[in-house]
Amino acid sequence: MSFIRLEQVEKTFGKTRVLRGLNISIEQKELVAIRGASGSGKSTLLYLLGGLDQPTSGKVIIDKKNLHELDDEGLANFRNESVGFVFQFHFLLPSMTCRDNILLPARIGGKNLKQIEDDTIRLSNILGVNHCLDKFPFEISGGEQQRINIIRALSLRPKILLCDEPTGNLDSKNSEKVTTLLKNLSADFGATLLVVTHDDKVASHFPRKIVIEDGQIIG
Amino acid sequence: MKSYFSILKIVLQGRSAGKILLATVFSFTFSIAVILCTFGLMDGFDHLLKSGLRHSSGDLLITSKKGFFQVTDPLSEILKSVGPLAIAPVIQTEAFALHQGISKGVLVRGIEPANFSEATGLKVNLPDGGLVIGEELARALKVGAGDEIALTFGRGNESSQSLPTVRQFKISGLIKHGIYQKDMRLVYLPRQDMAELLDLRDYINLLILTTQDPAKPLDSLDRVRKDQQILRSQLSSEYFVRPFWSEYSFLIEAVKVEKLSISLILQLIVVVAVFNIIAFVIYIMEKKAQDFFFLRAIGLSLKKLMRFWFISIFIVWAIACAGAHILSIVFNWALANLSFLQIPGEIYVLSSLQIRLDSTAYITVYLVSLAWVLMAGIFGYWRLKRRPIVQGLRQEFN
Repeated sequence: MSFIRLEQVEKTFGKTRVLRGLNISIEQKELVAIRGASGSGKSTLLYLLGGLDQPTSGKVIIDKKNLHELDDEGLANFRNESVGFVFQFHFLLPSMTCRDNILLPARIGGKNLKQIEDDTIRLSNILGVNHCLDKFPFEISGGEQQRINIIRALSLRPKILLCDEPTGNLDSKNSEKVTTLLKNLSADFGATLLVVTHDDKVASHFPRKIVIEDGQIIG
Repeated sequence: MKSYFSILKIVLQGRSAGKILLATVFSFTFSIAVILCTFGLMDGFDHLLKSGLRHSSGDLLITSKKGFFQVTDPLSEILKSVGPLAIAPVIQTEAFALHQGISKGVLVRGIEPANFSEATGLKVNLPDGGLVIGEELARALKVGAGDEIALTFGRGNESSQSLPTVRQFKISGLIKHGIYQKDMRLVYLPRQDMAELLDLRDYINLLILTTQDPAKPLDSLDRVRKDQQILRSQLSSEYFVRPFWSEYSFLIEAVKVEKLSISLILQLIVVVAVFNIIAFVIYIMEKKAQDFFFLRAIGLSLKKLMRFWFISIFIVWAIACAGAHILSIVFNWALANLSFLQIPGEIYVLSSLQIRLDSTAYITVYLVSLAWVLMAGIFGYWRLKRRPIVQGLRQEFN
């Protein structure tokens, strides 16, 4: 059985059908780009995979768990423990240092911080942002902010890393760097990587591409 | 707890959030304090009035239709049926007190200091030939201990019945009952002196008796009511038996009614404070919506959010209650020590007020305020809960 499986997934908002009977299977540790134009339903698909929303009909099964059967607490735990989110807007909280921002999912999940702090330092050394840890987000550059964001997404060693236009705010040089970084880190952490993008250059880095148009898979 | 403080830090981030929260807590604190102090003042008034009345009237007062009577059988036997702790026979009559052209109408009481003290808890030091007057009367007549005043009684003695009796007395002390009218009107003489003066021998016209320790405040008036009923049923219709509060019963009833009505009116103050809390909640919801939706996205469950929310509400309530308690203590101190907070006794019966709060008053005020604040909390939580995460993320991040 595939690690991620979508069976006849439909999602409607009012009278608008955003996703139309999607069937997708993704294996563990696979690196996948989800491509599509604006309004095609790719972000909605990502939210369903991340347990942020429920399908109108059909099943979203991840790691043998049918997300539809989880209650709010179960879904929150799933998002906290199994999923790492990288949004286009990195959304680092300005009241906290970068270190505290990274530790936020661990604190919300009531995890032991020692191990996570060690991982944070190691990862920040690899990504070259160790000097940013005790700074506030507004004190560092956009590229550094996105790397802190990625460290936060990986802080609890999630099984799935979901990225919604992670390079949307970056120039082509930084965009290339971040995409490579996401691929390498997912491989290191053994995470399944799904990146939503409308950028063909970003999508070209991935061995598998899912193309969505009008809520349907066309490629 | 770490997650709680992480969320709290996010909520309070920014200069305005902390200040608004502080203002909200202060307004809630003052609202609770106003209610506590109002309750306390009314209970304090009730307590001071009753203890002041007991200091002049014991628990029960017995008079006769005939005016004067003797404490002999069957009266003395019947009195035993309520097991009195003390019985004080008193001669009481109206008179005028005169001093250097100032005259005041007074109520002169002839007492035996020892049994009067046992019956009322009021210590009256009466040497032979001396008298004790109320503090307010002394102020009105501009006299003090050691001065002499004249008392003019309406009826003369046997040798000159058509003329008033006038007698000079030396003031041996001043006395305070705590009730303005009593302190303004009462004059105490030894009963023997008064009996001789009015030629009354063993006759008296007032019997004061107490059935409960006058040094201790009464928990309830029920025992006194019960004793009154017993005596009424056994004594002949010649006697009147009145409880100590009968003289001011209208006032005690009025305070009771006022306490209820004002407590309802004062809920408006709490409602205003609750509106402040709701305003703060709305402000936080609008200002921190992005943060909350992001926290929800990374694993903050509704249950944890609810826990955070209600712990915060509870802390606000607890701080406000503690603050209100401290404010009520400060206000009580101010009432006792600051002269401009003293009240005119001729208008308010008592010349000073105190805050007196029992556990029932605290529990009532705190529970009602908790109910209000919980309503505000439920409203805030409902606002947080009603928007799905995705909708929130899309709206807030686009």
